[in-house]
Amino acid sequence: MPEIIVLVKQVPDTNARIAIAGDAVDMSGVKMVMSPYDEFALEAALRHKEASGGNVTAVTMGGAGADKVLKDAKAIGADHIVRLDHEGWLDSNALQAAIAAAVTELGAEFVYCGKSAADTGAGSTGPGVAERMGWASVSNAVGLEFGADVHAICPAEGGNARVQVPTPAVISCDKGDLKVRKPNVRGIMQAKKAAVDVRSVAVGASTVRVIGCSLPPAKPAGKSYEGGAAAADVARLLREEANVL
Amino acid sequence: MSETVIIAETAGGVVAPSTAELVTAAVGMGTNPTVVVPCTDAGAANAAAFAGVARVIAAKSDVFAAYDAAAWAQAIDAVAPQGTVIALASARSKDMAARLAARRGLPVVQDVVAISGTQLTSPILSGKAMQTVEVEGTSVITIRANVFTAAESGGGPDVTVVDATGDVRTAVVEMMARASERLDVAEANIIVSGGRGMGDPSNFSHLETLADTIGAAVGASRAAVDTWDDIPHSMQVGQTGKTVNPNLYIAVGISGAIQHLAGMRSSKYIVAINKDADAPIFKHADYGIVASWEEALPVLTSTLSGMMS
Amino acid sequence: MLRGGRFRFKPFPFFVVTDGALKGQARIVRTEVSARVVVMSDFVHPLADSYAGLPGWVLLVALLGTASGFFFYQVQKATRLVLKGASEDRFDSWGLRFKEVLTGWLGQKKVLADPVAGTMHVLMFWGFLMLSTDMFDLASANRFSDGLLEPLGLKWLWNGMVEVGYTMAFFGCTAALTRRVAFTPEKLKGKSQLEGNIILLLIMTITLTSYVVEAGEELSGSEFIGIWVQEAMAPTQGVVNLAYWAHMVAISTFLFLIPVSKHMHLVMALPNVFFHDLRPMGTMLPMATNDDGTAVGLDDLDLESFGAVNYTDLTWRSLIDGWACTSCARCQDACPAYASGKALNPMQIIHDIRNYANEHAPILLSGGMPEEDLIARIGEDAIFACTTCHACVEACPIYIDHVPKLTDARRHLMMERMEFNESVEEVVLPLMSTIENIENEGNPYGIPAHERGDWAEGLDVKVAEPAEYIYFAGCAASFDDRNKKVARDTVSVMKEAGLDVGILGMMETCNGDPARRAGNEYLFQMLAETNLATFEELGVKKIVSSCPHCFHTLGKEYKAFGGEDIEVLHHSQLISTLQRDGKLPAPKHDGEVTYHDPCYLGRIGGVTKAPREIIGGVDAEPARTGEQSFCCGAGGAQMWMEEIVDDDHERVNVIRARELAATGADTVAVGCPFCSTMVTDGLAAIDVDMQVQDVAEMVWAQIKANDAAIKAKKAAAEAPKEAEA
Repeated sequence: MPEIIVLVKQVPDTNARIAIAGDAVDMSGVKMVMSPYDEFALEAALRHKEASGGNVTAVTMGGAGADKVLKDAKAIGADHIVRLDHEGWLDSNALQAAIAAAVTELGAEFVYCGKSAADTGAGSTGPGVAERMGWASVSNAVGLEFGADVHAICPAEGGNARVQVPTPAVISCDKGDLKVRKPNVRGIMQAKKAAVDVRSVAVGASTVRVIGCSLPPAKPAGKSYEGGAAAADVARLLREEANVL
Repeated sequence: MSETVIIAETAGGVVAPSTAELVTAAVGMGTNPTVVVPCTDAGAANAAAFAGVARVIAAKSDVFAAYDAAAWAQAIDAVAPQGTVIALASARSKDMAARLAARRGLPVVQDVVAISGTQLTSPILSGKAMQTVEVEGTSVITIRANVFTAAESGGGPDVTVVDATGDVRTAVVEMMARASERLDVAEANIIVSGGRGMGDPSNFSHLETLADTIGAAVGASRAAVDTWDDIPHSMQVGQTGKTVNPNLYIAVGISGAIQHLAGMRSSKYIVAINKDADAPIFKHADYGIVASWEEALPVLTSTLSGMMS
Repeated sequence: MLRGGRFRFKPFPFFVVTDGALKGQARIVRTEVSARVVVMSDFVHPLADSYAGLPGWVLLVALLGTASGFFFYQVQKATRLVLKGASEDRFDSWGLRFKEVLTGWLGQKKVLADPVAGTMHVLMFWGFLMLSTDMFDLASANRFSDGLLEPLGLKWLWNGMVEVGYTMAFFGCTAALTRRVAFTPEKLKGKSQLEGNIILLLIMTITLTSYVVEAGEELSGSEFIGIWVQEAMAPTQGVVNLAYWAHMVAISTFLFLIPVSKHMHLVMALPNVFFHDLRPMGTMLPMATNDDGTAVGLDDLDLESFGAVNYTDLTWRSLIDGWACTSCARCQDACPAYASGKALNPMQIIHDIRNYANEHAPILLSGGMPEEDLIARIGEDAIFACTTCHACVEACPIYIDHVPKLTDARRHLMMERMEFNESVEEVVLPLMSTIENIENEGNPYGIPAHERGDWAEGLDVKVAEPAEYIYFAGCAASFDDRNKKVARDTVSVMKEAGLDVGILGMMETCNGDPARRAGNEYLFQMLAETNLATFEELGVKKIVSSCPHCFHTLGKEYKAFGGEDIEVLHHSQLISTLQRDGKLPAPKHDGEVTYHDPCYLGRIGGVTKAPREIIGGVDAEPARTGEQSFCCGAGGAQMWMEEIVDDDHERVNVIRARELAATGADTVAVGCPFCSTMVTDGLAAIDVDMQVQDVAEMVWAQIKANDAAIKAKKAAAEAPKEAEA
């Protein structure tokens, strides 16, 4: 019965209007939600547990405000919720070291995470943590099968590969054919009362620091054309201006 | 500036052209980079001898036959010199870069789109903001494709071949070819959708022709699905159909009522073709063409077809 | 000893004289008519007669004893099944409840909504009330009238009343039987009418035999038909006996049939009316309430189960519905889901409850829980087909509440089970993403919450600051381009009248109606608590809404969550007042206009006049209008579900569009953004070119036209002057 950890992160709602205040993104009034790919990771972890038993522990790092994402995970079905108590910027090196230490301390055979967090979009944590612990890792899994072995469906050159995943391993999850379960209200109400296991972490120095944020150039205003012949211009702009072809 | 090491991007055992963009980025940082080419056949590394490259190392190993993050990071780590490591921000290389950085105890900065000395800029929050970081010492960075111009090919140094090895942890059980049939709208990056303005369900064949030209999925508005039995519900985009956010959404003969907009308004670019200039879809379109689909669609299809070939 | 044919019909007044020997043998000695004495022969009361050696009263005790024993056993069983329901306080406001019994039960107010069938029913109902005490007389061989009423001087009157009662019931049942057989209503075709017809024939037997039985008795003079039967037919003792026993057998059969048929409504209609829901129509209950009826706040909520999945989750009053139903099918006729061929028939839901209870009675009564739950019996496809338009509730003559049974089941499915039958997946999946959208962005479309106030850009209106009137735009008017114009026009009209108007902008969030009707009460309460906190922060006291769903939810349903003292007006109500006060020009419109009543404004909200008045009346009403209006198909969160109809049926909005098109008007006036969308789509589907306009748009267009006309007039007046200069 494997111990399963799922790493979850609280990020600004992907629909939120982003503004810059000084050198940083203005987070005031921005709704915080579980990073969408982490929802798939949590779903995968729960299915893994349902197939082979064990416990699912959701782990996040942050201040008290991050408890919400853990309670969401609890409502959906996580057995335990752990917050690594640290607020503020960490580079990947310091972050992964802290998480790897926590995973080792908690003990686990499988770690699930989203393929990337919706805020940074980096996707470094899963493979980085795996490397630090000397574990195998598969990334961007779009499907998982839990039989005698764990099989992950991952993109590979020329299609998808069904990959046999050894134990222990870190699996990062993409949006796949997994239908993410939603918490029922009883789960939400119970989760509200659930206690968060808050653990202090020792964090190392970061050699990368944020020095500024800016907004990307605004998308040009919509262009309007009369007559079918203009479709040729639009076709050209799709490639040259919009860069979507 | 310490040494920079480029991990060449490969596809099908061949050095991908985007590797040349990494060379430009490295040269811009004030160094002549070493290019490490992960390969099973050292001959492939010859293609990495771009102008400005100081050294090409063919990291020859069986582990590079199929991707295994742990083994690749281990093998590349064994071969690549110390220094700032640069790779392409592709899904595979970002993964490898993260492991390599962790292996070397370095920070990794992903998706870089601008470099200014030791300052690196990447998009965050799905591109809604740009973040600039200052890097102290060496790091591993990945760079987005199509940002830097490609370095000239040829004129570079000879290739050094080094045998590498790594412990492959995962095993590919089987390859699953991508389904060749038309994409589902929920998964497609480009969608061509038709509404009641198409007049007749048989006219959706014109949308299919365009979709085939640009590798798109074909969608439909609810009005079209409701009106014509031939248009299946699985094609429906909108409030009670599928919610999509492709890079490009081409709406043909769709007025753009809220029920439809709710399902596609987060598309990155929207093209609207409608003969009614007052159709609400035009308020949301990046490129609006006031014309009947009979006029506009053939022009769009033929122009795009010319561009894609 | 029995001789008949001695009676002569004589005009009033006449008197009956008996020999005073009343021990079960009403001996008629003579009838005095106008002082002329007719000597009568001896008639023995059928009860006093003996049959094959058995005294009549023994037979009667056996017959009535068996029948009423069965009847009372069944009634107590039904009562015990009803009392298995969840508790609910319906013992308040006795005055109102008695009043409703007088008008709704005794007065048959809602029965008479169908004048033809209603009149037939009234004849039978009042007839039965009047004749019912005759049972005492018949079973006591006239001791009731002779021993009790006569000394009080009431016999003549009472006999007359009973006679009228029998006669009314006779005419009622004859008409009803004729309607069933000769003019079979559409809804009865193809269905078994055996039970209904047998009951009517029994009533006919009961009434007809009563006259013959009377003919064998001394008459008090007020039994006009009895007298005529005596006169014209002169029944023998044998005929009278036969009639008497036929009468008693019919009544006994009736007693057997009542508790096992739809005629249980004779028993259960009265409690159903008395204990009916006094709150405004369509007001749903919170998950849990405090003693004062207000909702338990989310932070204090501690519940183990949600909504109704089991029989015992419904309240006792809700369960009475099952036995009170008369199967009149008026709900079925009014139901848009039924009309569009969905799995829902509101009458069947009510039958399901009673059938379920009867089938599982042993388990239920022993305190157990049957394996099959109530949701399985009703069917998820029926549960998710309801538009909560309340046409069924409005149509029901005996105050059945169909809708809460379905919405309570949705609560269970949405908040607890979260798994759906395959048959409803396609319907419900969009609803799940809608709920997610509301959770994340506070609107069903999933459009970023921060764009909510954008519709008012460029309008001179207060945003998120205190104002006398807060225009609560709602989601449709905030995000739907078509309805943004309605919002802008409404605010323009309010400003034209000089009102202090504000909007909430980004502080506004969905009122929660879609979540509540979909069954996610938790999300609804979250939104209600959020909005009410905003109202409190800004000191909001008067809210104007152009969406009937906001109007209903904010105005009626928020009261249980802390919004007791907030006045909520539909924009048509406010505009109507402003026009009457002369703050806006007199109403008028151009062209031929019809009006579609939104369910939550008209039938549920009770507002039917204001929207018509503010556009200067309508030129043509659709066939179903006002409180009887037919749903557009969007309510009850249907707007956010996939509507699936088979080839034999049309969508709800198409059915309604046809009714509106049939008016021949060129414009459909609406007062609801969702009706606007549904009617527009419905008209497009049938290729009818009619304008769909919100009433506020029409008002604002008239104001602008007025201004333009005045300006033009002024310009025309000044032009000659300028020319002169």
